[in-house]
Amino acid sequence: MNLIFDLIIAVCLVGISMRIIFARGHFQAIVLFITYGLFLALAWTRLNSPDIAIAEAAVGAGLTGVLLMDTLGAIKTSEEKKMRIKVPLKLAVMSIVLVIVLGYSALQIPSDFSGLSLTVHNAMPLSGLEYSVTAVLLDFRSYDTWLELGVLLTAVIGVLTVRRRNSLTGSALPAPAEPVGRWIIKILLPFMVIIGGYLLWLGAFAPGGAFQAGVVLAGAGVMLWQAGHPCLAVLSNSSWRLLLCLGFSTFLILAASSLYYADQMLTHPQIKAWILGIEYAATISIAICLISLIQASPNSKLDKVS
Amino acid sequence: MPELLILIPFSAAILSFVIPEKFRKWIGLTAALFILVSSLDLNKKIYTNGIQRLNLGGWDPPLGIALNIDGLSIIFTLLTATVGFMVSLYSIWYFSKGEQAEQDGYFWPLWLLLWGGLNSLYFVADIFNAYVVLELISISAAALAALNGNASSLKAALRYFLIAMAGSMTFLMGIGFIFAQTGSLDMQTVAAAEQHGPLMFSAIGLITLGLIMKTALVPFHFWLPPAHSEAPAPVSAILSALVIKGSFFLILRFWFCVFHEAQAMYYTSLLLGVSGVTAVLWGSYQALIQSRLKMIIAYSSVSQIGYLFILFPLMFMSADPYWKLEAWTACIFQTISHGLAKAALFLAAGNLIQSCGTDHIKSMRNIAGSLPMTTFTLGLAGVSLMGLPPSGGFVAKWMLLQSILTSGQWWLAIAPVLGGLLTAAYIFKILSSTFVSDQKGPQKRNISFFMEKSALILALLSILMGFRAEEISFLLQERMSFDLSGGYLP
Repeated sequence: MNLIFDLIIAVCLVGISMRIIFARGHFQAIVLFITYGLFLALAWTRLNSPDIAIAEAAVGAGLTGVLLMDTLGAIKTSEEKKMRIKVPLKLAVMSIVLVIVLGYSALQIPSDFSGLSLTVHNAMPLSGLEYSVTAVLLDFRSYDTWLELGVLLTAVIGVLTVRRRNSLTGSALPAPAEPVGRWIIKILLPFMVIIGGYLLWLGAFAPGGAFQAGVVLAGAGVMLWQAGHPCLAVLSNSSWRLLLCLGFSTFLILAASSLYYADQMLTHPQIKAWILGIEYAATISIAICLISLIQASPNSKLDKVS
Repeated sequence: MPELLILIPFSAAILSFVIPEKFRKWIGLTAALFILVSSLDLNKKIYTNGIQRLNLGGWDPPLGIALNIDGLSIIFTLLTATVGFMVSLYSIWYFSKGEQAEQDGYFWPLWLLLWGGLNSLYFVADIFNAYVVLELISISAAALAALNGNASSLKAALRYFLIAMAGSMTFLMGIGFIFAQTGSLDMQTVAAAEQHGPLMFSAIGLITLGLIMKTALVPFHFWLPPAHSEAPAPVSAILSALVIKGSFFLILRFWFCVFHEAQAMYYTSLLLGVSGVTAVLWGSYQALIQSRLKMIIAYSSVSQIGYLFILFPLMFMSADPYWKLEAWTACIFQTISHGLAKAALFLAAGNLIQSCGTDHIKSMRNIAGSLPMTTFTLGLAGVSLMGLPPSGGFVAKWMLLQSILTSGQWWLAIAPVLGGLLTAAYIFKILSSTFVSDQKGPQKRNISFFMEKSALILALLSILMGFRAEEISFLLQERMSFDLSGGYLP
């Protein structure tokens, strides 16, 4: 039964990506891309990685979808191309060869491959945490997580650079006229905030954690923005900037202070409050960063550079 | 303390993002000074005490992440600190007036994040960590390339970004294969593991492919000339002198520390050598037929990058360890001298553009009369690129030629011989137009003192580094964490 389900997901993934390549118009391609993200999330669930599944569904399908739709609205192509898209033969042959080589290599991976999970399992009691993914992200490999938060921050600064923005003022959308949309948001928003908080709390002992919670909160923020609320633009410029780099700077403070009380950089003091503080800071700045990425997007008006 | 080289740029980046715009440049310059001092200090420590290996977070690899600082890391760190400091000094005045002034606020946080990323890349000892750092570098570099904000620079930056992302994804897939084969992400553990079979074969191919896309080796060079020439002058200098060297550093790390699958590396090194020779010839030829100054310099990067890859067939297809060491030293010398000379050229080009208002070489008349210092800089950097004694470029090309001739792979000698001639041709093309006197030309704007001097110092350093050859060779031979035939030293 499981095998059939897996096969269906695999076939759908390949089929949808083919359809995206041959899509007749941008709109169709975007909708297919969102579907693709949802199927990918299913695939992650089947691979026993619910953490990644939540992130994939929220970012890959949700937020990316919003960005793509927004871009589509901004470029306003007058007419969709109706002609058939041809894939060059050279490219097709090259891809097929690549797929065969890589597929053959991937088949060599032993089926009982466990990677580092045994090492992680043995070190769990020493880390003082209960859930292994959280321990890897916030303790064993916290350097990577720190730099990943830096990547997210860099992406936001990059978007602000390209858009020539210094703040998010003037990015509010007109409120939707129909009451249904507003009504749905009114109901959904509190739930999303609760779910975000729950995921954050869950990260201590089960799938969930800072990134998943941040993504759900970002979803709530984007919805609020779509409903005509200025969202992040209500924050003052300096507090918005501080929140953007909150997660990255918390790690920075940990790294700098650990040089005084420990031999190795990024060593946690044996207090749970540290891990918790880092998780909260990371959640907030992940949410703020993702909302900023979307709120600075093409359809919102550019403010004039003074 | 090596950690400082990561902490200082990142703290300064955060600070410069949060504080008001007019103070940002002073934060940037202070940070640049501190980084320069602490990298000189670290250099002294590595030179006298030997390599350092640090574990992070109180966990030993393969569970945690380590940092590895050896002679190779310290050479790249010093190059970045030197070029970075001079570029920062230059940027303070470059971004102070005209249309550049509004780019100032974006430049500093991005550049400091990029600098922090580069420094952490040089200390990398974990293959997944390498991917994360590469992302940080690529995203900040692409955003910097788009700093000008006009349509052509946005297009060039987008193209660069797409290629960089494709490279990252290819690289990440290779990382996945290595992890699947060896069950570890720590470079030392991976190097000690069994490396046979198709999984490792694919991993070597994928990682090399992903990284040469980012390093702009022919045939993946097409994004480089527009991206580097459309960016503001300090950004062009950073991108050409440092960012492509970052991914090249990672190629060296992987090829000499991590991989030891002889057969796959033999054939791949042959391909890399062919691409390298092609890059030298094609890049120089393209530079020769360009008419815009920054395009000439950007194509010159394509060609100079080619020299670096001639190392691979020499290392993996010849046997004599003495000449291998010679080729290895030549490659690092080429990296340093190109980094310094290319940064000087781009900064000098920025001066010329500010002065003349265009970078068309035909309209740059009488530069030698009005901006003698900048013309001198162009000449000096050109001498290093051509490989005339006593410059660093000469040492590099001389050693390269020697090891090519003794290794018996004569076909590789085309690159230094013909490439050197073509390089001389395009450098003289730039210089010849600067001496044409033109009394009626448009009024030239004055260039700030520091902008001329910082370019000049970089050009002088690229000449003078030839006199410090012994120390660099010592770092490369006695302070390496790995053996040239592959794998870590015990």
